[in-house]
Amino acid sequence: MTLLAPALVAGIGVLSLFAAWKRWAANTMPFKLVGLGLLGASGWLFARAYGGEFGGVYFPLCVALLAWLLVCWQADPPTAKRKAPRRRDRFPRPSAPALSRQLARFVMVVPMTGAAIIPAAVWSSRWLPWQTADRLALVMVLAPALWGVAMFWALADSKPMRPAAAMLSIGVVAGAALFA
Amino acid sequence: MRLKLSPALIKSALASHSWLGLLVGGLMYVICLSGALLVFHSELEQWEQAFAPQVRQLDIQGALRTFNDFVRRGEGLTPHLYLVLPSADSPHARIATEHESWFLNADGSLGPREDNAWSTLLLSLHYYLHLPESWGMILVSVLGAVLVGLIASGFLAHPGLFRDAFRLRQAGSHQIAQTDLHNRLSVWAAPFHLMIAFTGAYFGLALPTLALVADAEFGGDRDQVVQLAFGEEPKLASQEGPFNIAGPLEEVARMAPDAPAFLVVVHDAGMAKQHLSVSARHPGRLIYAESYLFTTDGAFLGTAGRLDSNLGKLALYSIYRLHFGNFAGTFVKLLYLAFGLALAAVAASGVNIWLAKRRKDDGLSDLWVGIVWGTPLALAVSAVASFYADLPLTWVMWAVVAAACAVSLAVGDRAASKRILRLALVAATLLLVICHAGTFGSAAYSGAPGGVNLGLIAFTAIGCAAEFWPGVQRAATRRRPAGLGR
Repeated sequence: MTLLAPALVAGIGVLSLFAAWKRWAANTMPFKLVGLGLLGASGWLFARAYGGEFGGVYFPLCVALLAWLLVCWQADPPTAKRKAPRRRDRFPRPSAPALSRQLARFVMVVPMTGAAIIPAAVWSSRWLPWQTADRLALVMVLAPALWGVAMFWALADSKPMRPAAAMLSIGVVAGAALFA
Repeated sequence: MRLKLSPALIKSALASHSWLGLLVGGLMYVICLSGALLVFHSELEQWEQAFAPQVRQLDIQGALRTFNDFVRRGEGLTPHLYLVLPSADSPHARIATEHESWFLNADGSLGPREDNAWSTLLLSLHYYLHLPESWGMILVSVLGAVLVGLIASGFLAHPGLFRDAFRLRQAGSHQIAQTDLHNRLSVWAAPFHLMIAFTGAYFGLALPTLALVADAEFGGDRDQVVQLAFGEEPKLASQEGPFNIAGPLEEVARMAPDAPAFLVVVHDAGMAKQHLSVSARHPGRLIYAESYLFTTDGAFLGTAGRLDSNLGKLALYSIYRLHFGNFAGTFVKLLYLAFGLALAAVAASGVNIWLAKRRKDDGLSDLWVGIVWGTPLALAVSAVASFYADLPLTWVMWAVVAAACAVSLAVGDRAASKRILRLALVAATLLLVICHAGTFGSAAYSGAPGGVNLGLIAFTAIGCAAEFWPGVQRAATRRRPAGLGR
């Protein structure tokens, strides 16, 4: 019974979003608002029924499952496709300059951002008004996430030198502050 | 509800997403596939050792005698020794060092040695990619951080989030079909995948981070930092004599009657500061367990305090169960399996999209088919091999992956090699069930082994349907007389 209520509310919420997507009415905004509101309510009901720890896991699982069911329900069935002729090439052999360019990019995007972000996360956590153990726990959980976002920025910036310079500066400042 | 992002940002986000995805696509696929199966690690261990003695009620005094004999003999002792009690997850009792493990019979006497080579292969594939443990775990964890970057860039590269929210065009071109599959699986499950990325990154990056904190703030004293994060070791006078396990188990049952004890650990075995901990799982809590600490003769020292931790430490102690989904029974495990496989499909379809956009096929396309379909095939073949010979399963597995890639390259046609490898996978899975039933007889049909075999049979049936049903439909259409069915 405890699962039924939040799952039902989530189901109606997802269905409402689906109705908006399908344009079952000319004005889709009420469907979207009701859908998002019901999803919020479902999250709250899950937390009430199972506590924040478990409810926080069950809610996204439930919403994704319901949405996937609707996606499958209205999907175009796969058909036997006529195979489009595709050009056949030899095994690609990247040139040495291209390889070294990608290698340099890799060094900048993965190890360099990590070497900057993790010390910076440790350093900046010093200002949190928490006990050392909680501060450490937060750093251990959040530092990889910040690293991932930094990787994205290092790749997405139109001026590659900008994130490289920023990461280098952050790493040097955080390292100096930590070990000074 | 179209996100208003500049075309330049979308373009750079897409380029960033593609680069990161191509960098890690193959490894991400292997890790997600093995991780999805590992959700059922306990069941897989029981499946591959279906003859292991099942213990409903362990004779604790008998187990205590065996345990103390084992410690007295001193052969192969490691700093940690384990007594694993039968639980809702597994009906087996075990005694283990850090390297070896033996089953216990119901009377507590020593049973056969644990032989879980295949589930260990799967575990080591997911944790370390079969690399040396420390480097492998760091690499896998870095992939967790990359997954965060992929999720962030994926959302920014996808401005028509609501416009496409429920669209799944499988009848169109290969590129459109793969793009829709990739986006629908990833967008709706993004919160779950983000949680897997966070928790997965933690496992390998926690220790380097703690080392950095120790060097920067604690004069290099790593033990102090570890104890701050994970609980302090008790201050003890020198501990000698045999271990009393029955007393601590009774004490824990009295202190926490709703929390079943499932593990007794001897810490610092053979040293002056050796002591015991009893781990008990508290219902309604996500933390792995609360540890109750005792001296070797059974005097209660205190708890590790995990139940009453603040938010940060609670998050740390909950990460394991959150990542592997073993906190709410089979239904949630099945959901984790489905969502894990979905993430593997996201990794595979991401590379498929890039390959499809090139408008040509070459050796890379063939290799990718070999990796995607060769990896599950290799897992099935290595499981079959584990029943009949004492082979190095890691080599068997990677040899099969290499053979699958070689077949795919030799065939030189993506669709044909995919079909060959899928048929081989279905056949190997069926063979696996037959070999398992042949090896374990009636034990293959009950309990966890029966459940795993049922899953394998279901997979075989779905695989057969996916392979042969379209052909049957086409044949039926050809046979249908003109004028009917219009």
